[in-house]
Amino acid sequence: MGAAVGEPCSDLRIGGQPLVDLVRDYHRPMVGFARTLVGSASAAEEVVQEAWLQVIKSAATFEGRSHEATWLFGIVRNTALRHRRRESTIREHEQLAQEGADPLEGRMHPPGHPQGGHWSVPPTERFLPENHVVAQELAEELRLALEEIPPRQRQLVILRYVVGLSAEEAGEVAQVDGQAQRALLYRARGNLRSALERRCSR
Amino acid sequence: MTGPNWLNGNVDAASIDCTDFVVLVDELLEAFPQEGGPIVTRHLNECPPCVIYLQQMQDLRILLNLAFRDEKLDDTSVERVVSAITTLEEGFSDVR
Repeated sequence: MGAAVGEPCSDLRIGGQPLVDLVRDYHRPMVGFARTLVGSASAAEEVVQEAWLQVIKSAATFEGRSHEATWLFGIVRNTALRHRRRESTIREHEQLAQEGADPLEGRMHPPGHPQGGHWSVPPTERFLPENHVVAQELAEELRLALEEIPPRQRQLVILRYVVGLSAEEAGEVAQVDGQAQRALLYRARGNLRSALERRCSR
Repeated sequence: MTGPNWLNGNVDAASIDCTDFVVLVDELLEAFPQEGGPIVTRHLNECPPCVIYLQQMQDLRILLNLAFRDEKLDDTSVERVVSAITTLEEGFSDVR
């Protein structure tokens, strides 16, 4: 059961929240999240439109036991996976090998070295000066850098830091256990940090 | 990636090195477990590069918030999306 017959979508409420508020808060992060699962920006837009339709159809089944964002992003994920199956193409971005590189590889002395486990190429300065004047510029760099990191890492950055889900909620949506999530976030933050480091050293 | 040794509960403070610390930073920035506090503090007191690393990760958090603070749609965009969904829904209803 979804919206009542004749009820405009704009009046629909989900778990007490007006649909328009959910669209305002989550549409853009939903597209970003969908983009980690399908091959193009236009496919991600399509997925999210389909997901909203599913949300409307299923509105009455939302019992409020989870955060509405967890529910919404779960629908986006399922819709994107259906979409991907329809395309039935194995994409390069599904290959997990690229998730494996440690962003700090080569920065620490290896085990066995007299200073093993300590920095060989240490970080030299923080990114933000005290007055934060370059913050906006760096934030833009970060947005671009986020597009470049592997999709599963990007998914978790979106769910945890953009949408603000807890570790448990993000794990439920992304279907990863706690250890895998920590590993992916470690690499995601490391990759983003490296991008900022490169930017700051220019 | 495996967790740092001290998280396994069988290591003293002296065994924390920078490789462990860069993993611990994640915990530090989340809800830092009490038992790790003194161990990490001791490492930070002895390792200026890791202090900088920690500051960089704090800056990263600030920048992530800044980069995505405008993610919310404005009223016009909300209207456009809701209108598109409504049109789609009507299309599906017609088919049914």
